[in-house]
Amino acid sequence: MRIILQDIVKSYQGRLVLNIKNMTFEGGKIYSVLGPNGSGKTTLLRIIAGIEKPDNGKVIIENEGKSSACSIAYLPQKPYIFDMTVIENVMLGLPKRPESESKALESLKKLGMIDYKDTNARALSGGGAQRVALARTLVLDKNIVILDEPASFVDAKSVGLIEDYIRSIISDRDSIVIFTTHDLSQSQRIADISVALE
Amino acid sequence: MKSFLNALSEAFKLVISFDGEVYGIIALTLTVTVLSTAVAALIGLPLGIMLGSINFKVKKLLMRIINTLMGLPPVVAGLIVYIIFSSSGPFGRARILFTPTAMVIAQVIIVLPVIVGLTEAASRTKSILMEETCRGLQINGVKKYKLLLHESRYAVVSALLTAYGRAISEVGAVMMVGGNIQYRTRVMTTAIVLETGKGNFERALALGIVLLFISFVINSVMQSIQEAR
Repeated sequence: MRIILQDIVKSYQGRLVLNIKNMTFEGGKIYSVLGPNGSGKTTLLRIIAGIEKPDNGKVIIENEGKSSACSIAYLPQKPYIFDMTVIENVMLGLPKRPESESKALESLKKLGMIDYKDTNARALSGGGAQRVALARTLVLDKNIVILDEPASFVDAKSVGLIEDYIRSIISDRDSIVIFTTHDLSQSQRIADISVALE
Repeated sequence: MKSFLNALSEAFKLVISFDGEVYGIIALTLTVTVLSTAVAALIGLPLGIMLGSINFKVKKLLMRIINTLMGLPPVVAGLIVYIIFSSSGPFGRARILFTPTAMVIAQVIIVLPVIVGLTEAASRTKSILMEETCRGLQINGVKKYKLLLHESRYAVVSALLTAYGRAISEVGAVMMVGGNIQYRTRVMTTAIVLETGKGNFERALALGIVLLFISFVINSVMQSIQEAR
């Protein structure tokens, strides 16, 4: 598994926000993307996730020699929380199979949200909603996991749970996790490689 | 004031009289309006949801046309159906003019733009908010539209109520294509027009009160469903 970025250029209203000559993300590694506001962190993630198209250049995803774009799970910076229970929210991206519910419950358990499974997700605090959105993304078991500030609203205890969960994804398989953060210590704790954008 | 009090008393008498004709009129009114709103909803809801979540070149123009049609005068809708189904019209052989079927078709034409326009407006903002999350979870196609409908459901119920209100209150189209035929195509609004023409103001007003009451009950039921969810 590998993601290769070649000659990526992106501008908004004439302002250049991203200019990457060459960048490669290797499987089995966690990458953190650091940088000040406006440095293009979110744009980079959106381009890799296929949400946004670059003005120039291309993103190549190699999966055992084959190109594949459908194995990406992406958590946006402001995830939408659906007006339904927590468990229903987490099961949204899963196929309708008997084992889906147990997978969703497991994901909630890892993030300390199991007690809220029948609560309307809209009634949760900012941190709770963020953990639900994260559980919903990570439960998909995709090979490429892209997380835009996954722990920006959560307390210290929950940050630990999130970091453990992210680490477990990598230990299970040849996945790539890319996340953005403003927290340098968090980057040092869980990232194998840090990418700094200016 | 005396007329209104008399009308209220007349309305009460009408309801408790169990008069076959009056109940026939009420039943036909409900059948035509509920059926036309349901048919328009079946077409209009998916269309409105889809229009709210996609962008294409002529969308602005299309929405302008739909918004204009939201104010389509019922007599114009009636005239169109009349021309289409009159004996010299393209579908004259169907012989449905002056039947409840023609009344339903005319009302579908009237309420369809209302449902499409209001559903599009309700789902547009939700769609923008949901888009990135849905793509991140790889939710697309019918599943995405179902989710959008779920998230816009309160506004959609309001759209249906507005559409139903337009159907039950209109008189021009049902008069034109139904013909206000006693025991066959006479509905509340056309009966009110007839009674007014005959100078039976109190009976006309009484029918109006019954019509308002029916509308109130339907609105209450729909709002209860909305609140229960």
